[in-house]
Amino acid sequence: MSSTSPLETISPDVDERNELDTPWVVIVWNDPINLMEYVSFVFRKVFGYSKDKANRLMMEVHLNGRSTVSSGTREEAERDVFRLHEHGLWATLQQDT
Amino acid sequence: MGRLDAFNLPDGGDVTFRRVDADAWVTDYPSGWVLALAAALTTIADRFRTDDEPVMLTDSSSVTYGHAELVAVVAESTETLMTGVRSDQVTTEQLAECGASSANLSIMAGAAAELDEVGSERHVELVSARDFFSRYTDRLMRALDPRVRPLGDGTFEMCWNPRDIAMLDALAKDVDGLLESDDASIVRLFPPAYGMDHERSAGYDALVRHELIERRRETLGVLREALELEIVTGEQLESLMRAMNDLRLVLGTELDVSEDDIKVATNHSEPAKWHAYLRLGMLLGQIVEALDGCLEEPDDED
Repeated sequence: MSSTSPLETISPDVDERNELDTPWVVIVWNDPINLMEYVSFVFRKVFGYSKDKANRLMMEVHLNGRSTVSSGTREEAERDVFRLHEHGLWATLQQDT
Repeated sequence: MGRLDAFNLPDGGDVTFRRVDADAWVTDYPSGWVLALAAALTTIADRFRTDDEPVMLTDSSSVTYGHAELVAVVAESTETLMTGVRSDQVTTEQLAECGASSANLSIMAGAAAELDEVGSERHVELVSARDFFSRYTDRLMRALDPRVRPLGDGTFEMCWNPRDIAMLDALAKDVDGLLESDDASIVRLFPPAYGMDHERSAGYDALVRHELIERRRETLGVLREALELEIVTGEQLESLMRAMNDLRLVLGTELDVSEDDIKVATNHSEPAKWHAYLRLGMLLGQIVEALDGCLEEPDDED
């Protein structure tokens, strides 16, 4: 019967662990074209946020130039970015710092 | 974000207009709004009282107005607006006159702001006044020219006019034709997902670009089909919303719209394109308002 034990243990290097452990965040950036109420509506629709939270995030985008709107694994962040791009918002993902 | 909505009031502080008869409207101006109006009017009146730095303005028909003419327009617009605001009930014509006056005041506040140093106290006040009247004009135009009406059963009545149909059909066709190109006007439809990390952004783009194009093509198709419909479902209206936003993003990019876009509004070489951009903003605002009213609030939230 063959053994399933590994012959040697491979430890992930620091960067790899960092890649796995650190959450990814989705950032929406201010732009001069999208209407404020549209941005707020998209946050409610895509993330299921309340009107208050969606408006707060939208105002952060408007006044601060950017806002972190969601976080999670890289796959989750990519999925969120896709949905925001589908709605015409300028969104990016990056690892949280 | 678009200047049409860059105006903040406390919750519930916005104006409302309700049609009560064929030619009668009941208006409600909350006290916070009236204070904001007074501040905006004072800012503009003070600025135009002096001709040390005369304000000139050229409109989209290349007609130029001198400072003295603008002072007269400010006085007339202020009087028309105040008459409307003081009345509990107004006619459609009076409401439309208020809209025209408000639009004038917005344009003039913006033109005056351009002469000040960005960030200076007077510049900030004039920009606030400009945004206040933009917002008010927008609310009035939506009330006077309703194009989307929720029917209460999850469907919506669309009231298209022939000019909108022609404009939207032509734009949708044009943008559809650009989707697979590398034209600079569609850059906002495909933002780099990883920002400045060009390698990762390119990798992501290679994976999703096709799907994003297909989804955009689909919503543009729904929009063109809906131009012949009087009733649309909520799902169709959401597609319309996304498609119209795409058209607006492309037009706005072509027009090089910036946060300080009043300059473009008052003196632009492509008035037809600019008009389509503004019209799209008005239609989109109405659709968002209609859909937003149908969204349920979550039970709990962090």
